[in-house]
Amino acid sequence: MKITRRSQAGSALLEFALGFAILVPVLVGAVQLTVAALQIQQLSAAVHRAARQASESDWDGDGAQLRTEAQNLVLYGTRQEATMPLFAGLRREHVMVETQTVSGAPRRISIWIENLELDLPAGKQTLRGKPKATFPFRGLYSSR
Amino acid sequence: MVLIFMALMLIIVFAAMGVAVDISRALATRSSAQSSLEAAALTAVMELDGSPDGIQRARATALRLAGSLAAVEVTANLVRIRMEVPLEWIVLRSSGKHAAQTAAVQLPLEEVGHGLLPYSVLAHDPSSTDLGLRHGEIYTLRWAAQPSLAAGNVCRGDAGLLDGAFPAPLLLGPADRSLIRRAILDSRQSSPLKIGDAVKGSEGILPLEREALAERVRGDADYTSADYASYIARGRGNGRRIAAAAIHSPGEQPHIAGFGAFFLLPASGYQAEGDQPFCAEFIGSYLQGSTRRGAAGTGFLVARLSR
Repeated sequence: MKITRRSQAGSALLEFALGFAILVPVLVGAVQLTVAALQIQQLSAAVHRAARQASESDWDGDGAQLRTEAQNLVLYGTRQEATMPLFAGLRREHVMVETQTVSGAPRRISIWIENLELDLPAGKQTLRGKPKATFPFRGLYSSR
Repeated sequence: MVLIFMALMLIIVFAAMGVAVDISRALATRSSAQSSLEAAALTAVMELDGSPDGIQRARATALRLAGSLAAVEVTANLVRIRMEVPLEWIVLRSSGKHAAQTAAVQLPLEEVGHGLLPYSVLAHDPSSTDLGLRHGEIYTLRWAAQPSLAAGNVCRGDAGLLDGAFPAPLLLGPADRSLIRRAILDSRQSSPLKIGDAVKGSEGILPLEREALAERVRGDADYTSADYASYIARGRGNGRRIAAAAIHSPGEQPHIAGFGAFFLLPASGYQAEGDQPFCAEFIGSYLQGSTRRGAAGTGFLVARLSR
């Protein structure tokens, strides 16, 4: 059988198309996976930083203001509310803040993420109870 | 030929993905370990109160929170934790270790923005580390207008100072009623105070101050303990009776020589009518956020990570 230059070119094109069809989705998946891993990493760092900063805040009355500030620290990186969250899709209801008190005085503050859905290449994954950080309260305590 | 090239590329891409997964897992493990160690060190350093018991409590707390494999070093005002965190490389089929470490310290502040009662206690010896004040002794937050031993209106620890030249009764900072109340109840200062500042004050509003001090004491879950030792032994207090106050040098131009923690007396100690002083027990240094005194002799301390 005679192999012509033309049929060789056609075969190479077919092989390239086949390889391309496999390689591109794999590459896209790799990028998505890396982005997702980075997001989780950043979210974990944000929760940790927020818990540490919130534990140095002042506690007034029932601690409601401290809890809001702690949520803002995770959401926006600042104590005040801003317009754009640092993480796409992260909302206030995802950021849980718990303060442990003894005889009415704050002792520990915990922050974690609840029910945040992430779009990963392998499908959707929901973060429940993590990342989480707990720090001892080290701020000024006022009773009202 | 192209197919072979593509197959090779696919192997390389998969291998790179595997390594990326391993690296991100390792980074997550490292950051999680660091976070746990920092929380453990900060919790432990809050236990230090200048006593051998405090050092034991700090060590036990650090080991409980960081795990028994951690190496814990505790000094008078610092907790350092080191730990080797195992790292598993699934794709690379190997394992490694990451040496994580952190330290937390009780840091003295030179300038205090808020957290001080609006009173200043007289230092007995400004050159000594404890400023001449003795732990467990009762000193004057606010002097009576006419203090005299005969009238019995002198706080016990200051009785020896009565040589005819005693400080005027002073309230530092606020003059407004609501600010005075807030300053006493919540230690909210109207301006920062730093070591070396001149002591300036007003005559205040005595009945209002009296009531605010009593209210602060009643806000503590343990409002009955007669002294700091019983307060700690009972272990029910929430820290409202432990207040930070400035300590000033004697002389015609007094200035702030340092800060200290004072244990407020039971509410009845501030409610007596007439020309009575406000007294409080000196307990050492003030550690913000703690229900105990700090590790140093005097000072306003905050627990922070050491860089």
